[in-house]
Amino acid sequence: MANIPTFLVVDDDIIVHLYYEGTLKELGARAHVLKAYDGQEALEMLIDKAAPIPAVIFLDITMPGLDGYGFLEAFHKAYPDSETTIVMVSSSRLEQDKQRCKAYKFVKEFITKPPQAEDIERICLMHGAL
Amino acid sequence: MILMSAFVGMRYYVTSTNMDAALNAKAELIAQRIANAVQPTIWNIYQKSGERVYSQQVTSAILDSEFADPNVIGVSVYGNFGHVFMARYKDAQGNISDHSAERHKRALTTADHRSLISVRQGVMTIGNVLVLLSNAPDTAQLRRILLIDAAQTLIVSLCFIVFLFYAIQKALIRPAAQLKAANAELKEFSYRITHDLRSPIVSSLALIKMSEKSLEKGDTAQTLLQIRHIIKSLEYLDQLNHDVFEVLTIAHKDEDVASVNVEHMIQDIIALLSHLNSGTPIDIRYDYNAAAFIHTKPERLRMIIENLTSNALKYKDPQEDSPYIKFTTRQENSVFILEIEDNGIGIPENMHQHIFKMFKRFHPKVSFGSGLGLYLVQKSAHIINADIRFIPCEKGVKFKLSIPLQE
Repeated sequence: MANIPTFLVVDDDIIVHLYYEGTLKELGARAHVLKAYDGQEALEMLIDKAAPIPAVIFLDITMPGLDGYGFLEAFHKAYPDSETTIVMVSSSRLEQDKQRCKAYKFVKEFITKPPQAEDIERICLMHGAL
Repeated sequence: MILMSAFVGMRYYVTSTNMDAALNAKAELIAQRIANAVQPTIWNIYQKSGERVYSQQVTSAILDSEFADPNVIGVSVYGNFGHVFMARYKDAQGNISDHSAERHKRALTTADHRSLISVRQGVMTIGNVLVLLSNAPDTAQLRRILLIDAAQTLIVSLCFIVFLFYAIQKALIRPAAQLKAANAELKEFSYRITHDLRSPIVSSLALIKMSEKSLEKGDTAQTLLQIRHIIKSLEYLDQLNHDVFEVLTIAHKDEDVASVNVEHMIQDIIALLSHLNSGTPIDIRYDYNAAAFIHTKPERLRMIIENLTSNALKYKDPQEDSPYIKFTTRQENSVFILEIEDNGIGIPENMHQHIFKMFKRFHPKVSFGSGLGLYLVQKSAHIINADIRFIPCEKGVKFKLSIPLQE
């Protein structure tokens, strides 16, 4: 169990959560999947020491409450040395959104929704879920 | 300010010119008066020829009286031989002294106005009177007036500038700021529209692909679940489309004011939204303390009440044993008050300041609204000149709508 990575999906759309769930199941990925519906809920999960530290955070930008940008800023302040990979997954196709997210060192990818099964598979392989 | 300064300058010039003319006339008048006063004495001396001693009493009486005038700085009375019979001079400190060549010269230099009048006996000139005037006292007075005028011009100009500033601010700066805010809102609106319109389409497409696979595997239960989510997603898209249309057209809708029975309107809305009142039924409470009829734009008012009521129904607290919505009306002076409150899940405190902003959603897990409802509520309230406020409360939410009553 110790080698099973944890993925945190932060998105306000329940369908997105279902999509990740279904795709990971289909790929046969072995990962703990945590769900948060906005940035604030995700931060609270990270603060909770009982929860495992996620290897990857799939983060949406536009969310109620604390949005993706707010989460990135808060995460940057709270965990400046974190090794967690953040993958931005947004409906936005704007270059300015990409550049703004990639300014944070832990943002490794910016994927336009919907993430393809190949993208999720690649990320699973990189983090030992496959 | 330039115009006012020009007027002040012109007034100074005219006053100064008039003052000069007045002093010239005054010098002549004084000289004539002295000439008349000393004429008998000069004539007497003239007749005696050899006697050139002039009476001191006469000198003092005549000259001292003239030096009471602040402009007079020198008076010389000449006899028939052109010699000085008597003279008096006033220095800068106001001291009066007798004739001396030096004082005479100084007085001549200082004087701004001179008047030389002959002392006559018939057609014969038997002497002369020279009067020297300084306009220094009048100039000082004129300067003081000029200073007051300048101060007045400055104050009036400052008041004018302040007035001008506020007038310009009202006419240009504030509308420009409002335009800037509207532009920022439009930018945010465009950004969110591109995102929010695409989001449910993308989600539905992804789910359709997943349901296709589920169907291939014969997993009917999973397929049904996915189809239900697709339906929800498309319903959201439809709602978003409707709300976006409202946002785009709300300011341009022409609607006449009519008499509205608020209590009946609330009843209609409750009936219309009854499908949302599932699970533990919400108790609908009424506390009406105002006349039911008001004059307003019915559709705008309906939108406000409908949005607030549907929110109260959608965001009820599942843990609450006695969920309720309460409609309260009352009249405060000439304002009709409608309060809609509930004991639902409420709105997080840190979101209170964003309640009426566009695309603000507070409970995505409970219901997936467009985030435009409360924005539209506020816009509609402004259209009917009403005020809508969120009243923080311990549990649930409370909105207060204040509509000024009109005939």
